[in-house]
Amino acid sequence: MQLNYYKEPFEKFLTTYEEVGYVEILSYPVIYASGLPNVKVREVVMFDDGSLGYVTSLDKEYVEILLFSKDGLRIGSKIARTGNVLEIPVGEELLGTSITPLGFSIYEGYPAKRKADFRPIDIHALDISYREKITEPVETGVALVDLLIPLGKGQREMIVGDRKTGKTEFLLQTMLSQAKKGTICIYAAIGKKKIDIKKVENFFVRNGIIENSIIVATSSSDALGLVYLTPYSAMSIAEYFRDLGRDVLLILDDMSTHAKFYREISLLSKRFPGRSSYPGDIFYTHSRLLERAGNFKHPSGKPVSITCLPVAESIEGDISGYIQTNLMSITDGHVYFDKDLFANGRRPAINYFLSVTRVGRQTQSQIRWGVNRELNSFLTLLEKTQSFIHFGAELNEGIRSTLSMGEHVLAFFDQPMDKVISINMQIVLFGMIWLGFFKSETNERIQFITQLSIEKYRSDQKFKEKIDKLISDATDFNNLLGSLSIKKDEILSFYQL
Amino acid sequence: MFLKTVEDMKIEEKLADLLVSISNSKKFLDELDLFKRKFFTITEGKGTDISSAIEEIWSGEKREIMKKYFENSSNFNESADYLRDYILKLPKVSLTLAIQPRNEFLNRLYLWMKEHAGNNMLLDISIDPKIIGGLVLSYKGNYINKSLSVLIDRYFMTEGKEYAVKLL
Repeated sequence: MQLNYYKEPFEKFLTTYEEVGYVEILSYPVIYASGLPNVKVREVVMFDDGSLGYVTSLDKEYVEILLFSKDGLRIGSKIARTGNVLEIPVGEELLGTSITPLGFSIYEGYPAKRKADFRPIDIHALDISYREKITEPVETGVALVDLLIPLGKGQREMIVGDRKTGKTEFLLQTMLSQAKKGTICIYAAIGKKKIDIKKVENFFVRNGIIENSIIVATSSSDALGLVYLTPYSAMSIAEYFRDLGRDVLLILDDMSTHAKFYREISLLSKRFPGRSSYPGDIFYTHSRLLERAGNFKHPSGKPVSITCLPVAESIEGDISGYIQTNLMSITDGHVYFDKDLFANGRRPAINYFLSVTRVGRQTQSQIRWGVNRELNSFLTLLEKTQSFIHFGAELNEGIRSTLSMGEHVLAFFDQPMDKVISINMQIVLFGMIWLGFFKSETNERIQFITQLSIEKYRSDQKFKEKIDKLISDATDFNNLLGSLSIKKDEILSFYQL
Repeated sequence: MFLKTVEDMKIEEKLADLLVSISNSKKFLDELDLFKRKFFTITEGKGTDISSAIEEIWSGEKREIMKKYFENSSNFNESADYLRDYILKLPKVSLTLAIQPRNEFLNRLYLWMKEHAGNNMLLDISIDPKIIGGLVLSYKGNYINKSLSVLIDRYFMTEGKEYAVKLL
């Protein structure tokens, strides 16, 4: 019978496993212990004060143990084996809670709710026979991403950008959009400031999606071992819900901080430093985690997915850093938040030319495919045209109309943080702009019309049905444009412009 | 060069058999330090000779062992350091008992353990009345709890539970 280290006292483990260890060298966050002759790597050990540790390596003399708590230990403290690998309690009760990577509430004095099951935190990813092709799209609710850099359910897409460029805002919008569709949203805050964790929690509460969300959080003042565990724990919870047949959106915010904390642990464990002092296994540390996301077969017959959005912070817009490029090669693309675009007032400040999606396009319908193609070629043309006008040449009618259309399209892409647009509404709005319905309107009016559309789509059932029918009846984008041209007056009448 | 012989090793083992527990070994190491200080004054030409220093510090069987140990030694300082290292490196057996044991019991326990472990050791004795009786032993990372409290706990979880249900 395996004992549960969340419930049983220290003495019980000593008596059961009949092995004891003693702290010999304390070099926080790692300790070296004598004794424990049969302990295994990755086994959880318990200290005499009830705190837990995790065996990271063994040598002839000492056992190396990573600590999950910050104080209470001294030289000579007793250690007992638990015979278990590291596990996290999981269950439906986790929904709506904010927990530490070991499953306790982040609020002191609030015990975690009783959970039904336990899941190992660090396991091997399911092999290829359990996986399915990514075919379903993920709606982020952010028009720029949904139309230009589409994502699929089960995709791993890195979100990269300098600090304070709107990465977290985009992630919150995505979670808002997905949670409303019934997807389980798990937000892993890795070594974040406590105030930032609270802001995310408040966002969930304010938007009524807390019951579909879980926050797994460690703050920068937590034990290094705990911070290191955060994304693994969050992934284990995601796997639990995946196995229940629920789609999961997992946000890992952020992996460059995770790499820094892991570097600190490795250097203090006297492991040999490699490039930028990161340990040699930093790639494996991240790849074995992100490989656990994907689109999977499920006994119900319907595939289930863990869509993973790992965040990486760049410095001065340099996305060719070590960790960023590692993550690029692990993930299926990246969305790049540009600080210059942010400074120019663009929200979201996504640089679509430097962003990549590898599997998202295969999930798109004919109509979205058409929008994507048109938009891509138009934005390339717009970029060329904008660089051309720098020469101060006289502008002909064609160039002027391209620039004007460009302004309208970019105004349409400007989206406030707390608003998400349904994909059908996005396509119809873009179609209307593309056909020049709002040709004479200013950028501010375009933004106003976009906001009005979001509001009407949400509150006016008749309008929503109209928009949805337009999309379902259209065979492709050109067909939609034809329908829009015919029904121009009818659609504009909804706006009372 | 200071060389140890088989005969010397036997003397050290005899000493370990006398020490038995860590508390005795600590006391002995303090005495050894005192001896080294006296030895320093002897070599400076001030104090008494080696044998009177040994007689002053140790008594009984320990005195005889120390006399024998130092009589063949050419370098007293190195011999004392060697002895100190030997004692510090002796494996330690942690032993928890419910009551303070008598010396005869401790010696019997020591000899029994030496016979089974096959080498000298020092007993690190601690007293914990919570174990009620029996002993808790840990040696080289192995931990054996043969205390009465564990037996009672186990009883109440198995047969005792059935009896309690019947009685109540």
